Amino acid sequence: MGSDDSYNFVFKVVLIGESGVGKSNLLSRFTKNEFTHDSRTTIGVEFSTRTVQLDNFTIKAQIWDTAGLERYRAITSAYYRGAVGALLVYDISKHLTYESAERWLKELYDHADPHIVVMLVGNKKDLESLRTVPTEEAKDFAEKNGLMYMETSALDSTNVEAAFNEVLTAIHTKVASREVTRGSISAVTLSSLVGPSSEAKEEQKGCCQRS
Amino acid sequence: MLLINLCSLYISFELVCLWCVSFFFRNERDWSWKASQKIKANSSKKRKVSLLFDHLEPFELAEHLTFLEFKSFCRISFGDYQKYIRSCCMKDIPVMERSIALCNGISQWVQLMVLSRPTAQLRAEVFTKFIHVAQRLHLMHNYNTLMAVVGGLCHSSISRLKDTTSHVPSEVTKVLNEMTDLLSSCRNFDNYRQAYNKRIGFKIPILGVHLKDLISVNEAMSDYVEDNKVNVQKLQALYTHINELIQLQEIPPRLEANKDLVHLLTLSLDLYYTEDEIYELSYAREPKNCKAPPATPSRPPVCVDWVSGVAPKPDPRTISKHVQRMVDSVFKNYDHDGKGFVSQEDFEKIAASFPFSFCVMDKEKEGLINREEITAYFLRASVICSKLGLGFVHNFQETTYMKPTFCDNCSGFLWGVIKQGYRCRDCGMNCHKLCKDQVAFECKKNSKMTNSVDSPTPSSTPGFPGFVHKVTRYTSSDICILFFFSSFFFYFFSFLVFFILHFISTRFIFEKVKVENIVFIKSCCVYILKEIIYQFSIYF
Repeated sequence: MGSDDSYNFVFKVVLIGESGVGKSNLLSRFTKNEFTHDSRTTIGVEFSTRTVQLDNFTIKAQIWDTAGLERYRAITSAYYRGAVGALLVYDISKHLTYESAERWLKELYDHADPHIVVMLVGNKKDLESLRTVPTEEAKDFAEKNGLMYMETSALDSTNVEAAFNEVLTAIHTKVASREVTRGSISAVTLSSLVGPSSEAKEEQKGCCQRS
Repeated sequence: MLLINLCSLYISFELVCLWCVSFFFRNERDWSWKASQKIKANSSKKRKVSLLFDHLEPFELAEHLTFLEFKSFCRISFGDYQKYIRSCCMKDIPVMERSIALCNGISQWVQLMVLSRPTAQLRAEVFTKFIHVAQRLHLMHNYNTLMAVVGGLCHSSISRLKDTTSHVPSEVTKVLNEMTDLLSSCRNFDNYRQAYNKRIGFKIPILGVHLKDLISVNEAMSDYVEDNKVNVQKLQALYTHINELIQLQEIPPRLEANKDLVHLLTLSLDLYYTEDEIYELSYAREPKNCKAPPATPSRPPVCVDWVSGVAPKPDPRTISKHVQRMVDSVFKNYDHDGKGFVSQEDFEKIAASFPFSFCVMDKEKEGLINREEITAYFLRASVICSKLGLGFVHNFQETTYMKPTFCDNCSGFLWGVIKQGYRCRDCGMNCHKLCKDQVAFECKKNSKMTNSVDSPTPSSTPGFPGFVHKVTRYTSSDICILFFFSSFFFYFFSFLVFFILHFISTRFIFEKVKVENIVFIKSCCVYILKEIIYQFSIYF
């Protein structure tokens, strides 16, 4: 409480998109510092988290990577549960991965909270010479669907921090404006943790215990 | 005497001719008939599953699913895991792809089985049954299939069914909550991992979770440490993980699988529905914002719903593709040398695993059976079988047909001069008296045919909608061929008769009536011509 480790919010953010677009790379870029390298202890413990400071609030971003799980339909519903943010990743050098964005979006809205903040992320910006998805096209698509948009490169870390931070800020704004109210799936995470005093309880409870 | 003979001759000619005409039309109708059969076969395929499903105990289902799962799990080799980590892609790893497909197939199957029931009560029963299956799977420590089943039950297409949920007993809901807790992705599947690690002996891991671990380890740890040294720790970590999975293949489950059941499940799990189609069906079952109307129709129209719910406009091409895929899956499993044939023995095995095993194949063939024969068999068998699932209430009435008509059930000719057969007043189906009680097609009251070009011949009960089938319009070339052939036969026979009569009259005792004869024959020819024109005008 009040210590450096305490936090005001836990936001669950999911990474979605076709396999091979670099979701895991993005994640490892963003959470590198907090990822314990000893796999025996990491696995089984919540990992892929990073604490960020926004305004006067400490936010713990809990980022979920499908890492191949996206192929299992059975796992998806558990996976999206309680998510308040999502990064829909595609590969700018593979048009097919962009085309499937619509399908992913639909699936996300089917399973997740309707207030979820979604950002369309064009990854592999470093492969500019192989680009098949024009920035404008993706931007238009994002605008039409009310998504945020950014192009990143996990390889050279371009915009990775910015993308995650922007999503977290947007979620925070939504929560602050009470747009997301108690009763919806994600509200348990969001509103039960307004004061730092409840953090310990929240830690135990987790965000996804049940919906 | 001669006159009588001639008359009978001409009558028989006319019959022959009628046969010719109807033969061509029958072929045409057969074609459209087949197309519609495919629609039904497609829909009844689902029911065929549910039919047997009703007779299966949860533990049987669990055991056989485990059998399939273990088989598929064992196929994945050490190299496959390595390849997966390296490429992060399934393209070159068919065994892994198949394992995932099986997992997804089970989830979809679970959803479809629940959704295939017409009333909320029945759906709740299937739901409960699957919970029992899940409990069994948990006892067997088959976590992968457990995940597939529970995932299917938790899918939004099922969880949105409020009516169904209200019919599910509270203790069942409690069990489901326990299961979802166990399989929760919370804290990186912590509950599952604990249960999994505790278990010694046979167990099937949730492959997805472990694949995810492999990817995570691979991503998180760098390949090289300082001084360009290979990161041995990483290699060690990956090896331990993979090895653990491989070790599990050594411990087989203790169960005896019924081969037939395995075949049935394999085919049943070969689903090809998209998420959207399942979702649409879910909406059809319990519409979004209608709470008041009871979701219990008086007659369970599963078949009709399937067609309209899953594919709003079933076009013959996709439907035949679907049936073909079903047959493909048979060949995938049984055509061992890839020559396009399945052995008689195998075929019997397949047939026996379906509830329609009573249906005998038309052609008694020795040895090998080809694709067409199997397709025909499955179509026919599932159509006949489907009648067991639901009440096929037709409104049959004895009918006198003015034109040659064929039985829509057995495709046989409706013989007789009057009251040749029965016609359904609702859907216009025609059939024999004997076939009346074994009609394998549902009465489609609601979907009335609009462009009934090849609708059954106008009968004594006009004004009723034609038979509900895919309608083929005859092109002008068809008519020409038809006309050509029928007139050809007429002329040919007329000529023959003329010749014979001429021969008889010159050789034997009828010299005196020769002229009369010729006049008679001429009038007959005129009659035949008129007949041709009449036939032509009817069908054009």
